Amino acid sequence: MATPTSLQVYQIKSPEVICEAVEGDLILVNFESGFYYCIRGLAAQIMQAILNGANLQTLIASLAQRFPGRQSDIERDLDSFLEALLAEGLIVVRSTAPNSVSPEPIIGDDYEPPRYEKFEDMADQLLLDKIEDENQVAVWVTETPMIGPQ
Amino acid sequence: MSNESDHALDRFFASTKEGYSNAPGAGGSFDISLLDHTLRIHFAGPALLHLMRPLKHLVMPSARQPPSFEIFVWEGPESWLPPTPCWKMGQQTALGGISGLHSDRFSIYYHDQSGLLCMCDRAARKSLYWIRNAQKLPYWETGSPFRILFHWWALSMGAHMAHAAAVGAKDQGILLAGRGGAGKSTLTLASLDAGMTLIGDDYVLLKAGTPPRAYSLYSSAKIHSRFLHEAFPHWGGAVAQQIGPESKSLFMLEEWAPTALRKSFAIRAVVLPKVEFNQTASIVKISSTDALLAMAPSTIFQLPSAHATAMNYFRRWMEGLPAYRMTTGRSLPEGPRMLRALLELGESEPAACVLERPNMCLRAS
Repeated sequence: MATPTSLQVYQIKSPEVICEAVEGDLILVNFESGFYYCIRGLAAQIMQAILNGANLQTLIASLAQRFPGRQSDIERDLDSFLEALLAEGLIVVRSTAPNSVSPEPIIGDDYEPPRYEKFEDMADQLLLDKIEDENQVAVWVTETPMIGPQ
Repeated sequence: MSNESDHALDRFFASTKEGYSNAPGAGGSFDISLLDHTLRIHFAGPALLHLMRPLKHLVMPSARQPPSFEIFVWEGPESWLPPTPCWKMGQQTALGGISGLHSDRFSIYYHDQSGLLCMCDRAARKSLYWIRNAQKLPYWETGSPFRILFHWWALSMGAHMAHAAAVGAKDQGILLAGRGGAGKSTLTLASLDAGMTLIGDDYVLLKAGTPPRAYSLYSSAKIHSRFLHEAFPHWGGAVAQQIGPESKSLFMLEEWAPTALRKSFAIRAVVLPKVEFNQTASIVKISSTDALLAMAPSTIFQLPSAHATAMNYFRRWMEGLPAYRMTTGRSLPEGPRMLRALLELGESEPAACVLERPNMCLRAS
């Protein structure tokens, strides 16, 4: 049964997030968190379908047709996948679209739950002290602290 | 960005540049060759002249034609400050970029911990590099000066800066990619010891094309001092200074190994090195995805405004290039031997087919 959530379509949370397709895989970078991600294989096809405008209901139907007997797994896994992508700040709801874009034919013989690899090694480069008043006009630093060894 | 904003930035740029014009002393001007273009760097005084050291290999006689890009460099003076910043505190990002102030014409970078200001006017082909006190210059500028300005200029030239090294032989080379600590500099020094040539150790400029090329930017190299003494004691005399919070040893290769430097060469492969003394030296072919994952993030998170461009540019630059993960093993010379073997494979079709099989492992003999 269609629910409001299952009819939503999503988009990349731009400009904070970029997404690049590389030979069927997807690499995403979140500049707010400093985390970057890789999505491969069937998960990349699912993600691409999401970004192309397929809603959850259409995606489930398409995958269930491709992988008979796996409907309940598909429903559970896609729901989790979308929740995770939203929680990571990678996608946002664009609109509600009852007649969404049909996904491209799925390539691959085996169903596996969609997942992403998450990389956190660059996140510390984005650490910044909290600014007391963000609306204050910036000032030139006249007495600067030492920066590392001379 | 609106025309009104550009007008305000134009006034800010002009007023700030007056600081250069009024700064005391004479430091001189230098022409360098970069991406087959002439850039001119002007110094108002001597305090920042040492920043030319990593660029010496690019210096050329003064060109008659107007330069493609100019950089005006000065410190202080003590009684002068630029006009009031035209941005708010909340716009300053951790990487020094000013969000909302990057337009087709202007870009600004301000490192508020040191007070280093960089600003670029693409229409005028001029840029500013100012710091109130040269003694407070960020340590990374010693080995990689004007990095932000070169990055912005390279973008306008259809090229892109990359946090990577490039070594080669016979006018072709291999890009060594990976985040800091991966082993790029170790493999770079080992390759120089083995008689290979070098484009750069820490940053290079990449230009997409057939074939894709890398261009030299800095002749500096740096490596952890402890590792230098253990693995490359014969390089000890070449150390120019210790820099950074990890006290790395900085070299100026133009002063120590000038014949090894090349301005540019075609790239035949991307290699992700890993220094593992307890492992047998090996190369394993990897996907473009894995190569890009290793190559792009460290560039993206070091350069303001690179986040919008780097991933897509590197993907296009890498198209058709094979990529490998290389473990250097217990013997340092094995690394350059494998790199040479990779370069030679490009000339030998049957051998290339063998390596094209997924996860085929080329073991050092």
